[in-house]
Amino acid sequence: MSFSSDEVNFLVYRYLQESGFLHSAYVFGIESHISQSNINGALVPPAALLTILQKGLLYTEVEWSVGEDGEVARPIEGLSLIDAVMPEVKPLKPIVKTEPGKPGAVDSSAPAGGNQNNNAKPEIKIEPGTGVAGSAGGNKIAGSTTGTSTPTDQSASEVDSSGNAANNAGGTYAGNNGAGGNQASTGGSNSTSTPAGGDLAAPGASQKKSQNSNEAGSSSSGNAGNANATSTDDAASSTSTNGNSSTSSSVEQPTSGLTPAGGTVSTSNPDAAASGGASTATGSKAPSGAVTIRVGAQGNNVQSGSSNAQSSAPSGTISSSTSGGAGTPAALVPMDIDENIEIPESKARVLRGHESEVFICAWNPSRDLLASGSGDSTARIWDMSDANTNSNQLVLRHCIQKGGAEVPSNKDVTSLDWNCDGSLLATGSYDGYARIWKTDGRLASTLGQHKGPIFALKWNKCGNYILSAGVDKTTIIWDASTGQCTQQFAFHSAPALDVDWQTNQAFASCSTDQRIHVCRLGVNEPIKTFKGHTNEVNAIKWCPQGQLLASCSDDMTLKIWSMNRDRCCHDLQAHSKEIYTIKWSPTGPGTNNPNTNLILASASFDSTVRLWDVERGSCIHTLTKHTEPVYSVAFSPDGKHLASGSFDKCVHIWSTQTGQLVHSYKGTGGIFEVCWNSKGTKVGASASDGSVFVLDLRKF
Amino acid sequence: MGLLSLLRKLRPNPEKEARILLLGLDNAGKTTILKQLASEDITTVTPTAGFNIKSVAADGFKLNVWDIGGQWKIRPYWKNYFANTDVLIYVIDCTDRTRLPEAGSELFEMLMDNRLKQVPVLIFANKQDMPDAMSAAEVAEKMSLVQLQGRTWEIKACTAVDGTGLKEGMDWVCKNMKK
Repeated sequence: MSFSSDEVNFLVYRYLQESGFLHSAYVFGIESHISQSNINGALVPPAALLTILQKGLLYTEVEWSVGEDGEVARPIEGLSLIDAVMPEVKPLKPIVKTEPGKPGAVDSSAPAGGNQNNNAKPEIKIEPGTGVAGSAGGNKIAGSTTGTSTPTDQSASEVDSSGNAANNAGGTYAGNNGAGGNQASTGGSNSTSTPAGGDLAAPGASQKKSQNSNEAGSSSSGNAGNANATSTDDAASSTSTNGNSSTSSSVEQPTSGLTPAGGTVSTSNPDAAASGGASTATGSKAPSGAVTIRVGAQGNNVQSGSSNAQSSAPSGTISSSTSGGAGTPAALVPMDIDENIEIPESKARVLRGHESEVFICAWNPSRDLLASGSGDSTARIWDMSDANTNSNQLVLRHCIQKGGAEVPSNKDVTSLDWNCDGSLLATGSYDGYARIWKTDGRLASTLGQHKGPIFALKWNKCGNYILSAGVDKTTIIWDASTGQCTQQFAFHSAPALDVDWQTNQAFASCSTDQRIHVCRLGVNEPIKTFKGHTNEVNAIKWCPQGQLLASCSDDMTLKIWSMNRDRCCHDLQAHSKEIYTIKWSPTGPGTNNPNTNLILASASFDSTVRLWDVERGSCIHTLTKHTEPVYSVAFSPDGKHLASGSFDKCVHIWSTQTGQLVHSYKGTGGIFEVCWNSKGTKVGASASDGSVFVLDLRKF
Repeated sequence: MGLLSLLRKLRPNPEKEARILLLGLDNAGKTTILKQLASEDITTVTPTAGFNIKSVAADGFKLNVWDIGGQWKIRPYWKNYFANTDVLIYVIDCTDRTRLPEAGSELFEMLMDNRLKQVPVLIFANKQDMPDAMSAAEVAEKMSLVQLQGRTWEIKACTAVDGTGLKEGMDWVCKNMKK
């Protein structure tokens, strides 16, 4: 083995260029005398640094997996880049559970062919974002922290022992935080503490609020963070400071070789920041007034870097090709994947109007009306029927009474749900009110009883009750016809995060207090309480028949509960970061697709989506194309496809049977929500940049 | 299993592997020593602006040698490489009498770092082929190496350009590795 700083510098330089850090790349190029190195830039493929990092990561995983005796001791996978450079993390690292019987086996979710560059086990993800994001976050910490950073597991490892000198410490620490998915959070402008329980990580942030951190600062600190990120590695740390020129024979202007790669980057939109290793995001669906800034935000550049990473691996071409723009990198890369996967612009309708991030969207069950809810304190109803080509929008302004006048609440619309026949839309807002709207956009009633933001709200099947979950730790059943509170349930000791009806009168609720209660209308205590999660429970969903309840948590597990058992029936551990949401397939007995097996999908901040056979308690497919946290998954009505939306801006559509990616579309902002219309012909998605879009999946 | 068995072989064996830090003022001959150790051509050695890392086999050991540039501008960054060092090799240009004090002070300052505590130090008194070169003993005396009490250290005369003395030095390294 032999390498020099010239070579490292060159790869770093390339990386900077390819990631859109054009100014940094220029300065770095000058400072490190890139042009005097005798590296033939034309021969160095794009994403070289990321590729070699990936290999290094893979090697580290193998190294840690192989015991002293040379036998495989315990398969370690999903190691983050930052963990990998911190040997002292190793003993602390819990054993990452793998699906029995298939350690290292080739995962069928990997697309056929075109994997030569990704000779890693498919389970092993390239997470270029993670490392960088971590330090981006950390940079923030160093710079401006007001929030809490709660060191847990990995981050507990000492900076000092990782061998970095004091001048590196900032960066290293940052890395720790980010990588561990720990609560590296700055409270930002307006954070109020979560009342109880849970990590107070990003106290002010609602899960989605947390995405508001798109201020310029965060992305530029992301840049800075990059430099630091590399500096975690001893070797690289001083390279940027080379003061002296090295003379060498051939003077090559590497820029020429680089231009194509640089192209991709231009598509990146500097204002979208994703939550990086952010347990905090979910951690904190807590009340907060205005925008809350969270750390762990990764600048978009990071994200574009990651799509570059994939572009070198043929298996990842989708994302690079979908990144559109210059498209040149795709040309450099063998296209092993059917290009038809990419949904053409002609099939995507972008709906503009929202002035802030759009957290949610939902199709009307009977007509092609898409409702969306945003941080601009409006919900909108978009008519997407084929007859209507100019996509009219109805704006549902969420107002509150102030001094006798109606003024915009200026609070996020956090949840919305259509009733079963599609005649009414209910919305839940950060202003604490639930509202019921008619399809013509008129407000039918306002439901006020919660003493804090509403995080979730659902109609029951027959449409006579609405159920809401609040930060005030309570859940409320409302009579939809009168708008009166029928019953308020105050059993949680911390904010309620999600609710789901089991029947028309019974429901489950979950909370940051780590518990799940099943309650029934007219009964004054929970009819069942499920304990077992060791961190906030983010979402719960009853299976179509209402027998099994699935829950997902910041504790990285997914658990399945049954009313006749106190303990969970299955404790599914495979994700390496927080699980944000789950969905059951509309299949199996009692559904429209009785002959298809019931499956459960989970979306995680580890950038993967997993499909589970709940009966056997095993993971069927791991869908690994996303490069940033996945916020939403949705099954097509026939259960054959799954749409997933991630902060990498991509909506991917997968075959649930094979785990293959079938369609893909890259939007302009991080995706918060994806949903299918009732016919299964269109997918709606809402994004952090205020855009809503509809993908028409017919006639591909 | 081909890849796994290969990886097993490659798997670092802490008993048989060491991280060597090769430091010294600029123009001391670090890179030349490194290249000699790796049996590479030394005719094109130029000042090292950053670092060179090479794995060198010696005595059944795998020595990962980190040769860090010695210009004063980048010396402050040496400390970034201190961690996990098994042996420090410090190279002296024995023809450069005027900068010997500087070489000495850099060394002693560096050795105060906690991470280099108890790390054995080999000092190569390089360029012995030059007519006016100081001998190893002279260098040791002028640098007051006796102050290195409590630390395993050794000074060896060598000539990097023809490789004289390097083997002896590396033998010492292998014997005295911090383990």
